[in-house]
Amino acid sequence: MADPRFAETRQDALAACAHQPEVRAALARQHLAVTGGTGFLGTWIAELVAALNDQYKLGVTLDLYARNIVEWQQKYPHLAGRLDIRVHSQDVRSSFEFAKNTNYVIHAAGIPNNRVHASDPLRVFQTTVSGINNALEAASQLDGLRRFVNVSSCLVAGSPQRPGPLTESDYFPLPSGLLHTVYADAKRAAEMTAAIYRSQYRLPLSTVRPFTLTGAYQELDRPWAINNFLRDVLTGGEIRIHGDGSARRSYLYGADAAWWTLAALVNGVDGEVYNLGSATPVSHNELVRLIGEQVSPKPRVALNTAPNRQQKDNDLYPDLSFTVRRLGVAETCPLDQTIAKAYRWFATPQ
Amino acid sequence: MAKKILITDPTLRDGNHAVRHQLSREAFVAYCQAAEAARVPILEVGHGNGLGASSMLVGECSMSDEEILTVSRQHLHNSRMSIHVIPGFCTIKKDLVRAVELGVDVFRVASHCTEADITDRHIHYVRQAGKEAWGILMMSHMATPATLLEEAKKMESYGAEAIVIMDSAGAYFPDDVKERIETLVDGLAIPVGFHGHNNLGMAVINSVTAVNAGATIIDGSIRGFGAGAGNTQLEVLVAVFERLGFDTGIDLYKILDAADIAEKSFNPVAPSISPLSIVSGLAGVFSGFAKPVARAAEEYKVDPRDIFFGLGKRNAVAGQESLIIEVARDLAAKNAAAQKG
Repeated sequence: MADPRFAETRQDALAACAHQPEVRAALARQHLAVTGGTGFLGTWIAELVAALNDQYKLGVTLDLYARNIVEWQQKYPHLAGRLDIRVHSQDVRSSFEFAKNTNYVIHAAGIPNNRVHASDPLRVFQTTVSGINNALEAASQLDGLRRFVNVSSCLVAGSPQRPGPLTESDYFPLPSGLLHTVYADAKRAAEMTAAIYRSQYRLPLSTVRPFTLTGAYQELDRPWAINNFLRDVLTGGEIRIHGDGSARRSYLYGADAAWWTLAALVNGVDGEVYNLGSATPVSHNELVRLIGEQVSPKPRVALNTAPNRQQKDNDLYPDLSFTVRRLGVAETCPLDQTIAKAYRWFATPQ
Repeated sequence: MAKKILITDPTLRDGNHAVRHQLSREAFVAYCQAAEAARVPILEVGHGNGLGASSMLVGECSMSDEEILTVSRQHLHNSRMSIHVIPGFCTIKKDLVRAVELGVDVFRVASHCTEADITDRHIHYVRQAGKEAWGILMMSHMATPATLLEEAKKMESYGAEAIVIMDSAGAYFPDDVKERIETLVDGLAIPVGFHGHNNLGMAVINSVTAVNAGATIIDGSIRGFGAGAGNTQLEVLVAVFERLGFDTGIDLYKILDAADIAEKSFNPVAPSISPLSIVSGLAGVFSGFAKPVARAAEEYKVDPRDIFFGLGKRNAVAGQESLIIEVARDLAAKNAAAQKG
């Protein structure tokens, strides 16, 4: 493990799973399958499986299914080269099968990148809707399936336009038939498909709804605000904030997000939904200040590049009380460390 | 507090259309200095069709892109330097990489109003380079407000930090502008702007209408120096906005001085609304076609107004200059057949 970045991700993975020995024990000698396996969450799950096996000798095996696997194998040889992790080229829009010995399925295939939502909405919709259909059908063929976790999205709740955290049962209007809501609409349809399989076929199924996840294994060109700000700092440019900077988001570190998903496999209850995100909201202004602490001199900030616009309440972060109570999880990486780790990841030449 | 309007001045880019892309080095120096003195916030420079466009098809520029950007950069200190980027003309490796190195501040990445998809990689590259990228929707009168919003949202998702709609044919009336700008302002999280042409004498009032509808970015060229009937006249715009209580940050006297400098230096005859420009506006065809249309009309002995209306029927857009010849030839053939018959 010559790359120092991967030494740090290993430590992060071990920290994330340190406090739930019962979940670790339940995963021992189990076979996991993850669709969308080379994405951000899937890569962190692979990192966790590697850490669990090396540190605790759990004998977990993992199949990752993804459309493009070559680049991932080249970028992360410390994961791709392991005997306990196998990578399969599979587009979930086509029907497929999981390995017969699969006990747990995490369906994380999807295209959260909103650049693609605009340009190729059909692929976004089909990957989500056909994808979950095919994954559920494949899972229903498994004799030893213990749980299927559907990775949905916080966007299914619609646009809150009111301050405060979102619980799993909060819903707000979501306009339908508009291309820019294709991902949220598709994820809603996927949640419905999952609910049907759970009810009609008694599939053991739970759902997690990610909010903003960040840190190592993230691609800098993903169009989230935190990435934009980090990139502006890294290129020495000015940070430009549309609006007054009061919009609030929260940022969950990847290792925690992956561990919580594994905890949902073990502790999840049929039909339940769990928010997956940090409960600590931070405004864009505050986020920029925290990012600025990583560099010297401090970045220049241009506020309110879209003036004369009525500022709306713009909060998007989870109420975690249900997730914490049901899954027994806790954040191991506080916000300042999350930002520092993300900065180090992006700043290190890859 | 006065509403702030960000003025972008494409005199040294759109104006290049008016002189077949032959603006001289001296003109660039003189106007950069004048605009800088007047505190013009953003000055757009380059070939009329933007970076990488100099060619036999759309006109060869007297200066290379590199020369233009270098000279302009040397004379712009507080004003930001902007370029017009049309993917297809402009490639990332050959053109954008160098433009970033030469110090361009704002990249205005443009497409026809229904083809925003083609701007994805260029906007993405600019943002990854840490620079400011805007999305420009040209010939915007050819799309409904809903379609424009859909295309603008694509650009926003690619990373565009502002959207400007261009009335490339000078075809808008104030109600058209109001409807489109309101739709964009309501549906986007980023600033919205308007770029007018004066074919039907509406450029200034259309720009004022855009601001009243929520736009915060307005384009204007000195003495209207631009394609066809010209752009919104910058010095008039600054004066009108000052009277209306909008804050452009531009020094009125200095921008009036800049108009004098432009007149003496490179723009002795301000663009006027020629009969052909009026037809171009009515037909909804790109104003920059006026000169090649006039040439084709002479060559094929047909009425240039008929060419414009023919181009309008074919929904011709900038970059389709070859269509002008096709329409002229068809008209000539039709005329010949009618004479025989």
